[in-house]
Amino acid sequence: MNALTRSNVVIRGQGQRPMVFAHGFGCDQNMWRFVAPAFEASHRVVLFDHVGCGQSDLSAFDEQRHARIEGWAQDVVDILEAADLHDAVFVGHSVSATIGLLASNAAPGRIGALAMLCPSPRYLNDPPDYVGGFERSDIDALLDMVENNMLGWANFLAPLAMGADSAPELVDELKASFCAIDPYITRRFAAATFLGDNRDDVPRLAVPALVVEMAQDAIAPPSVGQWLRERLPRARFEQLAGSGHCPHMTHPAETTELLRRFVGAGG
Amino acid sequence: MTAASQQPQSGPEPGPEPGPPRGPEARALTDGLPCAWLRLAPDGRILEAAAGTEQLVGAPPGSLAGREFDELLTLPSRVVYQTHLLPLLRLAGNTAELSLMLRGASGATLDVLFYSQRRADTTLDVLLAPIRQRRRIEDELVRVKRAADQAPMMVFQLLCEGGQPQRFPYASQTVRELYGCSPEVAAQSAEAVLAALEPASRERLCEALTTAARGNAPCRVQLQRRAAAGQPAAVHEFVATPRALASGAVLWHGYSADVTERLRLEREATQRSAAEESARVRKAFLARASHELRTPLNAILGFAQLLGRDGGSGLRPEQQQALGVLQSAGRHMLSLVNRLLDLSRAETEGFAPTLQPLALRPELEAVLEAMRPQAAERGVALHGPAPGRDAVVMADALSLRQLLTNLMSNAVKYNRPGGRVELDWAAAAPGRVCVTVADTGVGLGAAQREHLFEPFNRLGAEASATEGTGLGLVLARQLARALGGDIAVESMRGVGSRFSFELARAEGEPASGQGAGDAALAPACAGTVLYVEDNEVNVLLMRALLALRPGVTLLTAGSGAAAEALLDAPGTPPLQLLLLDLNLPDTDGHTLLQRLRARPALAAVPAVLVTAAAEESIGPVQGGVGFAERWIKPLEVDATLAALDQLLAPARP
Repeated sequence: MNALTRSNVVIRGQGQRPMVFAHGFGCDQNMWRFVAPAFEASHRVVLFDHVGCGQSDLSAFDEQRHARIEGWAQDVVDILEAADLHDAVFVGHSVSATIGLLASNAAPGRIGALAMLCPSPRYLNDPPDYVGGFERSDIDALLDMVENNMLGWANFLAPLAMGADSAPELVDELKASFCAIDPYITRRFAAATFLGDNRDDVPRLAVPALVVEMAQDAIAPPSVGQWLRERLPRARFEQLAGSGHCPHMTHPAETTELLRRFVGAGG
Repeated sequence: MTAASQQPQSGPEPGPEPGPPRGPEARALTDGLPCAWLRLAPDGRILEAAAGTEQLVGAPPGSLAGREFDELLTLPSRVVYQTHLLPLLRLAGNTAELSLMLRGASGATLDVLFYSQRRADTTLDVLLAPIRQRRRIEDELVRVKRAADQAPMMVFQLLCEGGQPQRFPYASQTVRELYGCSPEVAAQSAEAVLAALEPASRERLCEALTTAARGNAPCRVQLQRRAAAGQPAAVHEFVATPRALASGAVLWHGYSADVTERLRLEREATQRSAAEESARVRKAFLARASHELRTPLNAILGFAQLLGRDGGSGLRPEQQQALGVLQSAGRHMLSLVNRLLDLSRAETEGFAPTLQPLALRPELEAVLEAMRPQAAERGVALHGPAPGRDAVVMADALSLRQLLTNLMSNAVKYNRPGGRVELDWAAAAPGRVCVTVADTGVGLGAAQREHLFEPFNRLGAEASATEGTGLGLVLARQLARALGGDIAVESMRGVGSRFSFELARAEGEPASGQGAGDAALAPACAGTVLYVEDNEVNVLLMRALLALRPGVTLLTAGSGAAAEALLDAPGTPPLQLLLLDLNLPDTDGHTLLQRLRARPALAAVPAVLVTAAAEESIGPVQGGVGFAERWIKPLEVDATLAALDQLLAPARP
């Protein structure tokens, strides 16, 4: 199967250097709509949906391949190869920061710079030295919550998202457009994301990196940022004042500016 | 609207004109109700909150404003909020019925449903509705769903309209594995599932559903799923029960399961029992056939032996010669019948002849001699091993001769005129001897060699004038294996073939030839014998045989009833010997003996079972003395007389 079709790859913009935007767990490429357009004048902007998200091909989900984050990273390598991208700036949010890290290590030359928004190489605590922020019971509760919300997320969340009186076509369109996620795959994506451990891959990163953090982030706490600072001495770390986990949605202007500086600096 | 067609935007688009609740009125509205209202900034900050909200989370009055909304949530809910809900609020603004968990005051948690609506100023009205009952229902639903999803079959609800499957309103997750589509896709249209079936199966399903719906009966049908990428074709069993809806549509509930493996096991079991049945029938047929052949052979050989007694003194020379032919042909036929039995036994139980030390050379020479007429007829020269050598091998003479005869016969038959056949032997591995039969025939190709040992496969010779059954080599291999070796073949087209097999060398001396002692010299016996036999020819033979023992009186009966009538008749003398045929018109030998043993006069009289069934065993008879001996037809005159003499031996004084 063509990786471009599989992952609903969208390529826009007039520039030469490719910029790949990878959404995190729980949403789709629509997440980038407040940031990515700013780079269309200077870059080839590449957007895509992870399998199970947005308009991706759900049948491409493979129980074995996608049981680990490495499988999702392989999907990204497939995209880079299918679109024949070289020296791309890869902007990955949350788990996709880790996915970009793995793809960069796996396919040298394809990714020339890595921007990581709110990354965490391991969400689970690993006492005594590593505080990821999550206990195993938190993750189990999260997986249950994903499953419970299957009832909501896929089926009856959307109808009221536009108001109860909306025409069904509009509802379907909305459902297909914003953060559409397949519940079955999402539960497995969540397990791969929140139970994974990619700390060993971090020091192997060989390209310039930017790490954007939020001052208060319940999902990627400051302890994770500190851990990363020690392992990525040459990376640039930027912290945005405020709370949250999605700077590209809550602080789009600042995020765009940080990315612009990173790209402009030859990152 | 697809992602590609979306226009870039610098911020969240304004939402639809918001309706109530809003502002202080809403505050008043929700105060005292079991739900909470808040107003959020676009980035998730709490701008204001109703008193109910403060109560729900156990916060002091007025303390919520300015805090982040996600601080009110448990950690797992924060993940859902940050990764899914917040992006959705930013993109769409209006959401409903997302389930989240609030952190209560004392560590308790509270499940709520989250509703939101965006105002023109991009702030959000949020309503939180606690759910308790619904949470329990949800938990129950998830439990049921997990069970259904873990089942190795697709559990479904299928809606049919106008006899056509429309969609699967519910399909468990196994639909992915069985049909390669998600439950959501199947819920939109049944096509994704139906397209995975062979066209004929798809048609069959529609017909079966229509028929079953008409009779309001369950539908059970097996369907062929087409081979898909990475998946072989499979057989699915589709089982469902109908429920007619008022609209005329039919709602089916049921399951579909992959039964490929189960069917394969069932098929194998059927084939196995068919093979066993076929083996049983064949064995029974062979036993029956051999029995049917032995009965007339009994007469032929018996009378021929009687005629030939005392050197056939009453016969003219040409009659003596004809008698010799009759006897040798009869014996040959008997050995064939025995061989037939051996083979049937070999197929069912494994053939195990008794191996004993045997001089090899005389066997080879005997076979060579026997083959000469056939070879001469075809202009084929026979060559034996160089003179002066011999080896003692472990073998059974009959099996070895049969094996050599089969190989030699093929070598002659499939030779060319003026060709030659060499029969020879040589030392092989230590303790082994290799016997070879080499011909100058047409030879065999690789493909022919592959099918050499298939029963009834004549490898193309069926098109030639050469007669054969296609069984010779099959039997030869069986014999070679029974003798502890196997048949090896070397062959070259146009040059010839060489068949060989190995035998083990014997440690000891060859067994001496069978010295059939002359029983005629035994002391004459006397007594009264009852022979129960329905075949008149057999009776005639026994009468002729017993005529050689003038002291013996023979009484005969044609059935069990006739025998008992005879015994009941006044004047019947006491019996000294019972000869009972196995197969009688009204009973069998075993049963008859049991009945006769009930008579005090016969309780201890020796009894012999006379049978053509070589396999018949003579176990003990219930409640009495069993058969002392078993005489196999055809009867050997000398051996029979010797046995008779022993059974009727005059009591020693």
